[in-house]
Amino acid sequence: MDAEKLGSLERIDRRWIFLILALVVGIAVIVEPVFPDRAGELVRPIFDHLDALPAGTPVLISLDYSPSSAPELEPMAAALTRHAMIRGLPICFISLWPTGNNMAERLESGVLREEYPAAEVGKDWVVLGYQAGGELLAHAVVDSLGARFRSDVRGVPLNELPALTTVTGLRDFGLVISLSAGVPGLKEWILYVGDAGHVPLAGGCTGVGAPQFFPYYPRQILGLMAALKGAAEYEAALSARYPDSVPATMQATRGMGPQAVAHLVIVLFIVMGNGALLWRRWRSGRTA
Amino acid sequence: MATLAQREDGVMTVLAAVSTSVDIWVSAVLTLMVFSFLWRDNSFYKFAEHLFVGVSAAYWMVVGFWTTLWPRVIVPLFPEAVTVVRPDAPVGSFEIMALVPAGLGLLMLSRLVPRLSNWARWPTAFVLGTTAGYAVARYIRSDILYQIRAAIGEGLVLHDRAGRVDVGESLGAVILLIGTVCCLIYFMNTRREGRVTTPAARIGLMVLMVTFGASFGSAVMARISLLVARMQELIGTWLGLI
Repeated sequence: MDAEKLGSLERIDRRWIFLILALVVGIAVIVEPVFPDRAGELVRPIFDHLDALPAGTPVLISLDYSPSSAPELEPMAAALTRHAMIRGLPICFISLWPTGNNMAERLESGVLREEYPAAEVGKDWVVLGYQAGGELLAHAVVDSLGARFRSDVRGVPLNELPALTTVTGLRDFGLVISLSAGVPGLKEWILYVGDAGHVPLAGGCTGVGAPQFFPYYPRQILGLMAALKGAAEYEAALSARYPDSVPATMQATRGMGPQAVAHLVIVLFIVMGNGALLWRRWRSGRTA
Repeated sequence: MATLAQREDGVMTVLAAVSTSVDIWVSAVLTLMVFSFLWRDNSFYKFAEHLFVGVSAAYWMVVGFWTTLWPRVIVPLFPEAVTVVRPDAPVGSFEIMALVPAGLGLLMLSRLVPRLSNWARWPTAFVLGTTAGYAVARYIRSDILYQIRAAIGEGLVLHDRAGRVDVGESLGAVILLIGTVCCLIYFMNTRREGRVTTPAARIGLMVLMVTFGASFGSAVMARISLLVARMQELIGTWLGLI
């Protein structure tokens, strides 16, 4: 191969890469390849912990994300919600993000009301929603949920919510999970609730944020679902344990097929670009 | 969902159930407008960008009013106001402490008047001071003390549940410790070049490069997840091809 051809390979217009990536992902979305998955070392402890909680133990899920990160975090919320419903664990949704109420609404309409029509709001799940304050809010409710939340989003006082009859503060929850896309999020839950309040804590995060949370496992967080892959692992554990109680292919599992194909294309481009560079250098070294 | 249909001439055609929902069309068209930036900057992208900024600002303002200003300031200071939203809601009592955030908030608005803009420093100083004081102890505990314990607290020879030496975990602990120490040496700006510090700093740099690579890989993975979700929306929800 001559140097000119190699040079064009190194200087390939980025728009060709975008186009090829879009085509490949588009085809994969239509074909829907599904790759087998299983819960890894970071996801398994969350699943096992939730699976071992006695029925009726409330769990708290903090929806600390917005629509821009929902593709990664919403499948986690859906999988956790399904697991809690199957196990009979009342869920309390709160949020440190102003968009949290809408995210909870999407879960209510997309999962709870559609897949569990017998479940009742107030009894099987409650939405306390968003409150301003970020990490200070999280710290304030460690001892008393009522210190900052007077009612749920419908205006029903806390003491009239059957799901929270056994709850005073965060320590009364079987598990607190923050699905976090940034600040305030899982980091603040670790600093102000998990470490400060000795509350069992787990988390889910976007791929961008994942590396900063790995050091907290396993001492400061029970487990971590990182990006769509983490959600797919949780779905795999759920499907393996309760095959008849969950949809055959869930959101994250459907997304991981196109994701894997896209990764292959990106790796291919990296190999091509670097291969061309190394080949050109080797050739120029020989001719020099 | 797309279905197959046979025409009179025998040719199979795909009938795509294109969505008739207005919000899905708006979502799809705006997605395509944003994607058009990949070709080059253009008016469609600009329109979508400005629309997003405007809608986001309005959304945050409305949510901020109803979740913060209304329940934390207006209702505590004017208890009867609660009946404006819910006529049957119980009227609470006047809460004098709500004057503090109300006053600090009004001071922030003093920036709008150039002559009084210095007053905005007080609420800023209050927020900075309390947040820093609140955070310092937590960061020292969670990000320094607990991380030191996680790095060396259990020693370098780790055992599995059966009590046998776990070679893999032990090797991981050693690498973690070496990596941590080398990274710390790399960031010691006052270090002198030497037979130990120079190669250690170089190892530290390599560890950092690996970390940045992993972070970048995670970021790429996250962006692809967003692309996949938009493709599923466009191809599935909008065009009905899946």
